[in-house]
Amino acid sequence: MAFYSTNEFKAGLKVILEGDPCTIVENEVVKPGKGQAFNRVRLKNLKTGRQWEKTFKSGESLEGADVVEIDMQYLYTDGEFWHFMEPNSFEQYAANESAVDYAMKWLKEEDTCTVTLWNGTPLTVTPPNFVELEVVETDPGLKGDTANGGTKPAKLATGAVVNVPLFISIGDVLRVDTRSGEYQSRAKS
Amino acid sequence: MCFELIRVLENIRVALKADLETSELIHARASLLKKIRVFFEAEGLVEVDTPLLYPCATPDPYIHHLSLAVRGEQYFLQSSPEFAMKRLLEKTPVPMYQICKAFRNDGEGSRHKTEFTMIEWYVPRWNLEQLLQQCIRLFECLFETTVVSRISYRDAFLASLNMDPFNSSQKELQSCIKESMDVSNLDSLTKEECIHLLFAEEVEKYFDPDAITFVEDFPAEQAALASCEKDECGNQVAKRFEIYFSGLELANAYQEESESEILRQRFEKDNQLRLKSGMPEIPIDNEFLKAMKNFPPCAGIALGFDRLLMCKLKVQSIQQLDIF
Repeated sequence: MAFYSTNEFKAGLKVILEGDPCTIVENEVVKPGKGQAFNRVRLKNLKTGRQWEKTFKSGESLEGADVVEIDMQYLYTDGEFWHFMEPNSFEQYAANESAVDYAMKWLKEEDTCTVTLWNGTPLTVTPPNFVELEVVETDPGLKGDTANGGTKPAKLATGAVVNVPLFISIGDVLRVDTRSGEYQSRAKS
Repeated sequence: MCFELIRVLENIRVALKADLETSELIHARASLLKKIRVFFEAEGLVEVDTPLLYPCATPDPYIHHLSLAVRGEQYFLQSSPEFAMKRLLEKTPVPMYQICKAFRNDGEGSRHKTEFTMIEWYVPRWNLEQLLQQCIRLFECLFETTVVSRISYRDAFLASLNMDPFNSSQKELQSCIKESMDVSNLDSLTKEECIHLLFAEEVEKYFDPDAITFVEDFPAEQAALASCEKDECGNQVAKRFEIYFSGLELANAYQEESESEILRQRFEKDNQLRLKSGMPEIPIDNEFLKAMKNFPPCAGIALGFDRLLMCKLKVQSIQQLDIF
């Protein structure tokens, strides 16, 4: 893989730092009136999601990381791996538990997720922003209570638990925002 | 579909806004340039024009030049008009200024552009103090503020970091950096480089953004083309000042060194540093060194026009001034 010098650093460039793939979020030149220039670089570790600032002497270089994001269809899990398919080539990829991480509780078969590959192996999985999932467990619904603001927990088919209005019953299909984990509405059937 | 529409509307909004800004920008630029020219005329300086394409350049070890071949010869797009203007001064020792483009391939950011506008001026027979007073008059003419703050390089370090840049070791400076920054290969930074980083990242923050701050008496290693002397603590300092305003470094002034042998030695040392860090050696400008033989005592300064405009328009990034 190619090496990139500080003056080639720009937002979105994927590099390897301390063994981990990172994406460059921001690159700022820091230079006194006369003297050595430095680059204050904001990076995001693609494995952990952690962002931090690191300063490089201008002219230093980092190895590029072979990282790509591909939309893939979620197929199934065998308990150890979560299997995804690239819909054009039908090529399948197996993501381990740390790659699937928080996406796990939103994965529904046939939904399209964004899978980030590092050297051809799934690094992270991002679920769709909205998913539709069936309620499998919740306290009995209160008929007619559609206005008052009370909520109760409801367990969904994937195991995720969300707060829902009191009128929701087992078997309802809900639309949930996976970024906030919040109930949006009942899905239109 | 809906997102698509929002994006289209957003693009239209940005395009409209950019148009307004373009008009605002060209007028602000023109008005500031005019004020500066009127000021210099009143101060008795003559406007000059020197070549942008020049066969030599400064061997400053931290400047990446843009060079190009013209009929088989190497030329440089000037990183400042300093050498050419000093050659003019030798022939015609009158106060002179220039407003021109300068080029430095040092990376772009919120304060740096590859191509920028520089105002450079020289007053023969003046000392640095006279030039500093003239800068105060210029700032009073361009901005409402008249608060002036003066501090030595050493005192600025002591006040902000409680460190003496002249008497701290490489290790002490490195551990000071470690307290506030995560630096790649910190152990490999020289004492000089540590001082540069601390100044740019920590000391500068300490200056009052509403005051025109003059930083004086730089370490002799940062003399560039300024003359040196011993300060009251016995440290060898460069007779230089830099101007800070609104959190930006705006200008850099020298009591000009005119001893050609001293300058040649500095150039050779700079070229060694360049080679060490993998940068190309720069041919020494013998015409410039020759001109030093009859060079008058002189004070000179370079002021970044784009950054001055940033202060005027209160924008955070130099890129916001980009019309193209």
